[in-house]
Amino acid sequence: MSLRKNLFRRISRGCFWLLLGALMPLGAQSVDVTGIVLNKQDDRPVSGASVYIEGGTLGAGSDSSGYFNFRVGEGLIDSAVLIIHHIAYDTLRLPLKKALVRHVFRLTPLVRPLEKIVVEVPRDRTLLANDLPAAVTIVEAAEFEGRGYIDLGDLLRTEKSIRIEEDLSGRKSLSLRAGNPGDVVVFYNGLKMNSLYDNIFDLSLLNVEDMSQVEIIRGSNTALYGAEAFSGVINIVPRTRQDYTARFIQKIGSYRSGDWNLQLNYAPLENLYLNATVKEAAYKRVLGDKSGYLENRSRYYSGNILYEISPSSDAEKVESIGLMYMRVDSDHQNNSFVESIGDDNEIVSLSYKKWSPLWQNLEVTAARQILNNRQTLVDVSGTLERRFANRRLSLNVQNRYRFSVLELIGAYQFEDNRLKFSELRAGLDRFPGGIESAGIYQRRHGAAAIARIKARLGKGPVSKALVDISYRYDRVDNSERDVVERQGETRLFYDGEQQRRRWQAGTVKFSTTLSGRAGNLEYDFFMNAGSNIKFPTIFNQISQAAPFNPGVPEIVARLEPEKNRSLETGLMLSRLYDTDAVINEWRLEFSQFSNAYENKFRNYYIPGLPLAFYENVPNADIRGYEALWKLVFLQRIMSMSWGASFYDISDQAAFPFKNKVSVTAALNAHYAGFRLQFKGFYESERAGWLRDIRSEYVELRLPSYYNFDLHLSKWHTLGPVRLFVSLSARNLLNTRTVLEGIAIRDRRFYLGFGLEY
Amino acid sequence: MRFLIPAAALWLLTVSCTENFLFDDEITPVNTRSVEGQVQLRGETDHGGIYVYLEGFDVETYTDAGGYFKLEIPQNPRLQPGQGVDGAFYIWYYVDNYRLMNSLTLVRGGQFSYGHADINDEGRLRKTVVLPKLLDISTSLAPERISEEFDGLLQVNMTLKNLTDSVYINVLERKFHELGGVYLINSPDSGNIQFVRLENAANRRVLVDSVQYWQMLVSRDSLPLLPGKYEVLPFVKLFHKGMPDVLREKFGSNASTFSREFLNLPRKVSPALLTIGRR
Repeated sequence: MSLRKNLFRRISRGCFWLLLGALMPLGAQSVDVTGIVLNKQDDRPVSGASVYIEGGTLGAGSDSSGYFNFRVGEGLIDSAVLIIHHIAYDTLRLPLKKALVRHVFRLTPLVRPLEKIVVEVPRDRTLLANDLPAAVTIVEAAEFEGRGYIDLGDLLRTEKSIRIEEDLSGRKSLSLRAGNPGDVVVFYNGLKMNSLYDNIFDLSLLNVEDMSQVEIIRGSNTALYGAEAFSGVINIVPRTRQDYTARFIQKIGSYRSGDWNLQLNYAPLENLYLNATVKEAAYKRVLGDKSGYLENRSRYYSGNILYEISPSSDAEKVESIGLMYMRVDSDHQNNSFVESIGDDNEIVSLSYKKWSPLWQNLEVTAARQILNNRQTLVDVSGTLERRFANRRLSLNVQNRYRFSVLELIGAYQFEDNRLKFSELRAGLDRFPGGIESAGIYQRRHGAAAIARIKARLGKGPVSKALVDISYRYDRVDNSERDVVERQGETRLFYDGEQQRRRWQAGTVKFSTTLSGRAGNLEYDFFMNAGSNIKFPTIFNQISQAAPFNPGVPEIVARLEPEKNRSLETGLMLSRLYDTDAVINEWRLEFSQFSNAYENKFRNYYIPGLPLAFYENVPNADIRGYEALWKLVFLQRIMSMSWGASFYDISDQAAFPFKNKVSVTAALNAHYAGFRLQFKGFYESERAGWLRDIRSEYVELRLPSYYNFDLHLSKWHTLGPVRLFVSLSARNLLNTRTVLEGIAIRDRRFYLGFGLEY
Repeated sequence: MRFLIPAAALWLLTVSCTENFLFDDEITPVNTRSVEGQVQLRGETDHGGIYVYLEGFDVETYTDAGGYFKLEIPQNPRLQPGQGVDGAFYIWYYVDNYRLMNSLTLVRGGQFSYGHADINDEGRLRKTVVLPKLLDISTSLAPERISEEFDGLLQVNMTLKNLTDSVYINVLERKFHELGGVYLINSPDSGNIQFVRLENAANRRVLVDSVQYWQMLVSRDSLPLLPGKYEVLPFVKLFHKGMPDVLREKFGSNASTFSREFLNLPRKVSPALLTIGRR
C-alpha cells in the first residue's frame, strides 16, 4: 500500500475517533428512562417486555434481568405516557414523569406463568415453545452485542456444558454434554444448518451481531426438530424486528481484527417491517517466527421482510408472512504454505403463520440453503483440492390444537438435499484409495405428533402437572450420481439395481413436569425419557468398514443408524425476596441424565491412506450431572452464578477429548447504562483414546485449563442517538496452553463502539 | 442534527475498518511435527547406524555416531488424511543382533503431542534408549590370505555367543553347526558381492542359548577369481519377537533369507577379512 494511501487511512481513522469524541457532549437535553420490569405475583424479572413512549418510536425491550434503558428528549417529560407491554401480562401505562422517579415496574400476569423448566426465560420465546420440556439456557443479545466475540463459537466457549473445537482456519464446531459435534443440531431461525456431509456446522459462519438470542437446549428431548439431536440443539434467533432505525457497531481487537456491522430497520406501513444487516470482518494472525500469517475475512448480508396480514394484540393470533435472506462469504488464507479456504452459506426462507378456529396455530416454512466449502492446499509434498456443495430445500408444516387441558401438536418436515463433493489429492498418499468425487441425493421425511395434558391443580404444593407423549417417524432415502474412485474408476456406491439406500425409524418420548410453590419457594421438577435415532452421514457411508479384529469381536463395522436412549431428571428451586432486600432471588438448578448409545460410530484414519475407516461400538454411554446456582442481589442490579458439570464417558474413542468436569463462575452487573460481565471457567483434563497400528488404544490426556474474561460496556443516550462503547479482555491469564485443536486461548483485547438511531 | 446523523452514518461507513489500526500482536505457531532423541548400543562407543523407523507414517532415519536422531512427520497436518491423523505410533530402533526396542508417541491432529507417552515437553525422548546386544557374531578364516592359485579349502569359523536371553536365528546349515552360506563382499558400493552356498544347505531355525561354534569349508572353486580384499560375512538372521511386519519388510521381502537384501539389514558384526593375492 502506498504511503499516501496509508496516510489517508490513518487520517480518516483519526477523524473517526475525533467524531466519536465530538458526539459525546451532544444531546445534553435528554433523560434516561431506566428500570426493571417484575412479575407482580412473584417478583420475578419479566424479560421481553416492550417499554416505549405511547405514539412514538422510542423504546426498548427488557432483558432476562427485566432491565431496560432508553433515552427521551426533555420536552416529552410532561406530556408523554410510558407503556410497558408483555403478552402474558396486563399492560402498564403511566405518565413518563412518574416513571422517571421509579426503578421497579410490576406487571400483573394474565395467567400465572409457570411454564419454564430449568430455563432462564419463558419457553414461549424459544424454539421449544411447542416441543417437549428440556433444560434450556438462553444467551441474550444484551450479553454479547458489541463485545469481543469474533463469532458464535467464541461466544459459547465459556458455557459449562459446551466444548468448542477450532482448527487453524478458524472453523469452529460445537459439542454438548460430552457428545460429539455431529450430535448437536444447529438451527438458525428454526432452519437446520448442519452439513449433509458430516452433520456438523461451522459456527464461524454466523454473525453474532445479527442475533437477538442464542438458545442452548441440552439433552435429546426434541421431537419436533428431528431425532438426531443426541446431545442437544443450538437455536439462533436472528434480529428481525428492532426498536431502532439504524445501528452501527465497529469493533477492533487483537490479531489485527476489525469488524463493522450495520443494521437498518424500517416500517413503511404499520404492519410491514423491513430489516437489513451488512457486516464485514477480518483478522490476521502473524506467526511469531515470521514464517507467514493466517488471515480470515468474511462478509455477511441479511434481510427480513415481515408483513402482518392480520395484526393482533395476541401474538399467537397474528397472521403473518415473512421472507428472510442471509448470506455469509468467508475466506481464509494461510501463507506459511499455500492454503486457501472459502465458505459460503446462503439461506432464503419464506414463512407463513395463521390462526383460525380450524387451524389454530398453523406455521408453514419453506427454505433453500446453500452451504459450500472450497479448500486448496499446496506444499512440497503435494496438492489437495476439496469441494463440498450442499443444497437443501426444506418444508416445515406445524399446527397446534388445544382442547381444554389437552393440546395436540403435529408437524411434517421434508428435506430435499444434494451434496456434491470431490477431494483431489496429488502426490500426497502412499496408497491412493477411496472415493474421489460423488454426488449424493437425499430425501428426508419426518412426521411428529405430540399429545400434551396440562393440568392446573390449584394453589397446593403441586399447582401444575404436565404430561407429554410424542411419536416421531423419519425416513431417509439416499441415491447416488457419478461416484468416482481415486484410481479413476466409476463405481456403484449403493448396492442393488436402484443404487439407493433407505432407512426409516420411529422414536417415542415421554415427559412429565410438576410445578408448585411452598411459601416463597418455587420448584419445577421434570423427568424425560425417550429414544432417538441418527442415520449414517454421507461421511460414514463413504468410509471403509474397518477390518474385523478377533481381539475385540464385539466391535464390528455396521452401516446402520445409531440409536440413543435417554433418561433425564431435573429440579429447579428458586426463592424470591423483597425487591428492596439485599438479596432478591436465588435459584438452584440441577439435572441428571444418562444417554445410552447403540451402534455408535467410531471413525479413524491411517497415515498415507486418504480414506476414513469406521466401526461401531455396540454399547456406549454418557452419564452426567449439571448444576447452576444463581444469586440476584442489590435490587437486581447484580447477579452471580456458579455452574458445574460432571460427565462420565464409557468409551473415549467414540467420544474423544471431552473433559469430565467443568466449572463456570459469572458476575453480572448493570447500572445506569453500564454493564460489567466477569466470566471465569475451568475445565478438567480431557482424555481421548488413540488407536495404534494393532487396533489397541492408548490414552492421551490434555491438560486442565482455567481462565477469565472481562467485559465492560456502556450505553449512552444523546437525544435520538444511543452510543455504545465496550472493552473486552479475554483469557486474562495467558497460560499459553498448546492449542491442540482447542479454541484460541491467547490473551486478547477488543474495543467496540456502537451508534444507534 | 437532522443532517448530522446521516452525515455521521455515512462517515462511519466510509471509515469503518476491518483491520485494527491501534495495536498489533503475533501468535506463536505450534509445530510439533518432529521428535528427536538418543539411542545407544550397550557396550559400544560408536552408536551410529541404528535404524530408526516411525511406524504408520513410514518415516525412517539412522543415528549418527553419537546415537542421535531426528524424525519429522513429512506432511503438513492439513494435507494428511482427515486433515490431521490421530493415533498412537511407535518409533522402532533396530539393529539385527541387538534387541528390538521402541518408544511410544501420541499424534493428534497430525502432530506429535509433546509431553505425552515417551516424548517430553520439548519433543525429545524422555530418556536415552539403550539396546542390549543379543548375539555376538565373530568370524575368522584359515588361512586369511590366499593366492590366486590356492587350491585348498578355506575354513570359515563362526562363533555365536548369546549375551542375554536365548535367541532364535535363521541360518543356512548343511549338517550340525556346519555353516551353509556366507557372503564375500569386495566393495558393497560396486555391487561386487559373491554368494557362497554349500550344496544341500537349508534354512534352519536354530536356538542359541550359549556359545556355539560353527564351521564351513569352502573350496577354491567357490571363491572369487580376482585378487583383492574381501569381507566374509556369514548369513545369520535373528528372529525378533513382536517385530511389526512393515518393519520386517522395510528391507525387502527376502531380507530374512540368504539373499542380497539381507545385506541391507543394520547389524553390528565384525566380518573376517580375506585377502586374495597374486601368485
